[in-house]
Amino acid sequence: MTTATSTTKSFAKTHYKNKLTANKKLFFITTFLQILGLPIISLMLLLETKASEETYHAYSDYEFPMVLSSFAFIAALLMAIFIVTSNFKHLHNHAFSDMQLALPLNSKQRFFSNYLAGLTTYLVPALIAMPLAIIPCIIGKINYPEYYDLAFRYLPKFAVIIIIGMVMFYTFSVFSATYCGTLADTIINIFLINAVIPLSLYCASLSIGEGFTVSSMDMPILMSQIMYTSPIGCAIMLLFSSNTSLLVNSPIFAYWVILSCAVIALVIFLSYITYKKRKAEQVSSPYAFKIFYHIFMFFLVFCIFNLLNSFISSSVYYYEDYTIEERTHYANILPAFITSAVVFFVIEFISNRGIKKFLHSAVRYTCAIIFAIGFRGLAIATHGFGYDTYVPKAYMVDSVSITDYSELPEIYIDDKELIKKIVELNSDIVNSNNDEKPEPISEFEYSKLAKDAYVDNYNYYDSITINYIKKNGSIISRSYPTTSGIIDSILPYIMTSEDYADKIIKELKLAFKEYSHNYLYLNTDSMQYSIDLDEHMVDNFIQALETDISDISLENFHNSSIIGHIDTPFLSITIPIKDCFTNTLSILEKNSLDKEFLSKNPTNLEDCIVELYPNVISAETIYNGITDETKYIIHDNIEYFGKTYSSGVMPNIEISQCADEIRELLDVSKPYSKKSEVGGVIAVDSTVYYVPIEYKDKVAEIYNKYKLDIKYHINEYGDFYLKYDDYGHETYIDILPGFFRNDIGVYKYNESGEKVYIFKYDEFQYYN
Amino acid sequence: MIELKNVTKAFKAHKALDNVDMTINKGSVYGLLGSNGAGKSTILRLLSGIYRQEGGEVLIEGKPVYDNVELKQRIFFINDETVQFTSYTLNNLKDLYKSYYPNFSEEIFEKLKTKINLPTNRKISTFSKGMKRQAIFIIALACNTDYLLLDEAFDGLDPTMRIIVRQMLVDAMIERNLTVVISSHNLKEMNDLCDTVGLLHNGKIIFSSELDNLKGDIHKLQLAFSDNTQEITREQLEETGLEILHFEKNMSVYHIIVKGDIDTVKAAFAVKKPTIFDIVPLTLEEIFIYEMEVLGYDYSDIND
Repeated sequence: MTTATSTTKSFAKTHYKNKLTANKKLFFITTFLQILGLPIISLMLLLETKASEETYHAYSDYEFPMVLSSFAFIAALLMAIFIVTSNFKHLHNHAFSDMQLALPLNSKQRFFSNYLAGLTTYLVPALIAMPLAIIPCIIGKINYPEYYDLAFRYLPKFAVIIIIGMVMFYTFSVFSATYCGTLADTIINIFLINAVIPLSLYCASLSIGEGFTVSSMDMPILMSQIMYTSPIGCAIMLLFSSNTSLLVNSPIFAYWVILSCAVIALVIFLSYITYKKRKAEQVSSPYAFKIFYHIFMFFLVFCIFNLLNSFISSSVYYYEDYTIEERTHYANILPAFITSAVVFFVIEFISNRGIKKFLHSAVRYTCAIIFAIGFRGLAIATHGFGYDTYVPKAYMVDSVSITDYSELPEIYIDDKELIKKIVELNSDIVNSNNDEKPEPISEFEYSKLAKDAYVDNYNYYDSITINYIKKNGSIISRSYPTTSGIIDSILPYIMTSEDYADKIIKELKLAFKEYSHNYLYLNTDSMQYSIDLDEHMVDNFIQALETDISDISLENFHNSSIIGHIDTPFLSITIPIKDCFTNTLSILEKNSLDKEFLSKNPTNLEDCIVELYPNVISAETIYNGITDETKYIIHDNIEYFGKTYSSGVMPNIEISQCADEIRELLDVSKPYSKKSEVGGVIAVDSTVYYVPIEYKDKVAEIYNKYKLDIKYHINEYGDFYLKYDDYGHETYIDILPGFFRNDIGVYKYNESGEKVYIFKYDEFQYYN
Repeated sequence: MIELKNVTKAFKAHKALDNVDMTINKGSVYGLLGSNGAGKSTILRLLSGIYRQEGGEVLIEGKPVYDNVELKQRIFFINDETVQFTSYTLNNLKDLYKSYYPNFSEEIFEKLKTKINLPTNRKISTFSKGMKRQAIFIIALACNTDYLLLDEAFDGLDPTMRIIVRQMLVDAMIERNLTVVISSHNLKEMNDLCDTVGLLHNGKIIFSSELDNLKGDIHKLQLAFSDNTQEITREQLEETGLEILHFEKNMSVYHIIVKGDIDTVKAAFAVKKPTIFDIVPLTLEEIFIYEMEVLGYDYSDIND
C-alpha cells in the first residue's frame, strides 16, 4: 500500500508550456498573417518608390497587394479574439471547465499562465514580423538614405504603439472572456468593450463641450483619455503620431506609454479578480457577472442620448412656407430620450426573454437617463466643468502652438518667455470673452429672413486656436472667437524669436529631405507661384531664410508686410515671407519669381472689394435680391463672430468715388468688441471693421450718397444678370436668391406676399 | 478521509446540495446514488476542487480542497464527457497529465496500455466513445493519485471492458489504498464495486451506509396463507412497528419490502402463521427503487 506524495512545486510554468503547445496552430496562423502584413507593406512601399522613378502611375501596381497586406495585418490583430477564446475555453465550455479546473493549479496560477501563453502566441508573431518589415527599409536606405533615415527615426515609436495597442486589445478580450459565460457573448462583449469606452468618453466630451461659451474645441476634450484607455485610442495615437514632430519633440509619447501600461495593468488586475471570483458553474450563462451587462447598457443610453443631442442640437431648418426653425439641445431631449429608451428596452426584452423583469429594466433605464441628462445639464451649468475657461499655468506647459488662420505657422514653441506671454494672452481672451453678454442691437426675425433674404453661407470667423502640450504629456486645445488683431500683441515676439526661427528651419529642412525635391510654392492671396530651385540652391535658400528670420528686428517686423507664404510637399506648415526678407527674396528672384508681383500693393483700397454697411453689425450678411437691400443678422451668439467675409455680396458703394472718405472711417474704426456700440461696418476683402457709434450718421451719409444702383436684367435666354449702370459690366448669376421659377416664368413675392412675375416665358419661345 | 460538513451548494435559486454531511473512509469505494439532479455530480466537482461551496466545508485529509494545489495533485476526476481530449493522441495526453501529476507512473501506463491495447499515436477524436473512456481511465490510473472521482465513468464501455476496468480499479485499491468515489446510474456495477453507498435526493443525503449493512437491514419477503380468506394489510404491519418500504399482493402471494432487524421482522410475521415465508436477498437496484418510492420518486404514476 502506497500513498501518493504531493509537492509544493507550482505547475504554472508547466501549464504555460502546455498551453503554448496547444496554441501551436494559432501561433502559425498568426505568424503567417503578420508576415503577410507589415513586411509585405514595407516591401511594396520600397518597390513603389523604386518604380515611381520610372513611371508616374507606378503606385497603382502596388496598391492591390498593399490592400491585401493591410487586411492580413488587421486579421492578425483580430486573432486576439481566437487566441483568447481558445486559451480561456474552460470559461465557456463545461467539459473543458472540468478538465482545467481539476488540474493541480490554483486560480492565480491558472489565470496568469493562460494569459501569458495567449499573449505570447499573439505577440511573438508580431515581434517576428516587425524586424522583417525593417529589411526593405534597410535595403531602401542604400538608394534613399534621407528618406529612410527619417523612417528609422520614427519606426521604433510606431512599433511601441502597435505593440501596446495589441496588448491592450488582447487584455480587453481576456477581460471580456472572464465575465462572460458563453463564446458568443464573449465575442460580442469584446467588440462592445472596445467600442463603449472610447464612445462614452467621446460622448462625455460632447456634453462638456455643450457647456462651452467662451471657447470651443477642435478635438474632443477627453482625447488624451480616449487615446490611452482603448485599443481604438491606440489606433488614434498611431494616426496622431503621423504628426511626427509632435511625437518626437513632446512628452506625449512617454506619457501615453505610461498611462496605457497603467490601464493594461488595471484591466489585467480586474480580469484576475473577475476570474477568481467567478464560479465554475457559470459556464454557459451569458454573463458570469451581470453587472457588466448593466454597465454597458447604462453607457449605451448615455451615448445614444448624447450623440442625438449633440449632432442635431444646433440645426436650423428652413421650410418651404418660409419659416425657419432652430432646434436647440433642449428641444432634442425628447427624440434622444425616446430613441435611447427604444434601444434599451428592445435589448432588455431580448436578454430577459420577455417583459418579466420590466420593472427592474425601467428602474435601470431611469437611472441611466437621469445620469445622461444630469451630466449634460451639469456640464452646461458649470461651463463644461470649468474646462471652458481653463488656462494652464505657464510652468506646466512644455510647448504651445497658436493657429489664428493668418500668418503664424502652426509650430510648437517651447521658449519659456513666449509660453508665458501666450498663457497671459490666453487668460486675457478668456477673461474678456467671459464678461456678461450685452443686449442685442436689434431683433432678427427668422421668418422674415427666410421669405425675402439670401443667407450668405461664406462667412469666415476670426478665431484663434491654442494647443498646449503639458509637461505631463496631456494636450489642451481650445479655440476662441477673437477680434482681428488680438494676436498682434504677441505675434511679433513669436515671429522674431530664435525658437521660431529654429522650428521653421527644422520643418523646412525636414520637408526638403523627406522627399528629396527642390521646388517650392509661393502662395499669395490671389495666386500661386511655383519656383524651381537649382539643385544646389536648396541649402542656400534654407540658409537665406534662416538668416532673414533670425535677423528680423521687432521694428522691421512692424514695418514690413507679408507678401506670401512658402509651401512645399511634406511641409506641415506654411511659412510667411515678409517683404523685408531680402536674402530669401533675392534667391527666389534668381529662381524665376516674377518681380512685378512683388511690387503690387495688396492693401490698395480701390483694388479691393469694399462694402459699407450702415447702422448694423453683422454675423451673417443677408442680401435681398428683390428689394435690393442688404440686411444683417444679429445673432444671440454674436460673440462668436469677429469679422465676416461676404464674397457672395456685390460691392454696394462706388469705392472709386468715396475711397478717401472710407479711409477716414477706417482710421477711426476698430476691431469688433461686443462691448462697443457699432455705427456701421466696413468690409474690406475678408476683414470687417466696425465704425464707432458716433460715426453712425457719417456712415449712413456715405452709404446713401455712393450706393450703387443695381438693376436686374433677364436676357433672352431667361438668365439673370446684374447690371451696374456706372460700370456697364454685366455679371451673370446662375441662381438669384429670392426668385423662383415655375413652368412658364420667373416670379417673386411682393411685400404683401403676392406672386409678381418678373419675366414670363412665352410658351412658344420657351419650347424653342 | 473525505469529509463533507454541512455543505450547501446552490445554482442561482436552485439548491443543489442542502446541508449535506458525508464521510468517506480512505481506501473505500463509495457509490453516490440518486435520481437525476440529486446532486451527485455536484459533490464530485466539489471534491475535485472545480466547484466552490456556498456553505460548510469540503475536506480531504482535513484540508479544504478548493484552490489547494498540493491536494489536487492527489485527486483525479473523470467526468462524463470526452470532448476535451479529442485533439490529443494517447501519448500527448500522457505527456500532458504527466507534467501535472508528480506521481505519474510510466510503468502503470505501459502496463494498462498493453492490457487494453489502445493505439497511442492516433488522435483521440478518431476513437469510439468506449475507447475514449478507456484512454482516460489509463491516464487516471497512471497518474497514481490517492483519490479517484468518477462521474458516470463507465458509460460507453462494453461488458468485457467494464470487467477489465473494474479489475484495474480493484488492483489500484489493493496496491495503493486508492479511494474511489463513483457516481453512476448503473446500480449493478455499483453493487459489484462499492463497499459504501450514499443515497441523495433533492440535494439531501437520505442515507450513507456500508452496502453489507444496508442489505442486511432491508429485506424482501414473499409470503402466502393456506386460508385464502386470511389477509394482512400494510397498516396492520406498520402498527406492529415494522417500516414497510413496499407492499404488494399478487394473487395470493404477498411481496413485501421491510426495513429493520431480521429477527424482529421474523417475529412479527410468525404471529400471522403464513404457509410460505421466504426471505429473498435484495439487489442494490431494488433498494434504490424502494427507498426512492418511499420518497415519492417512483414510476407508479406512469403506470396509472
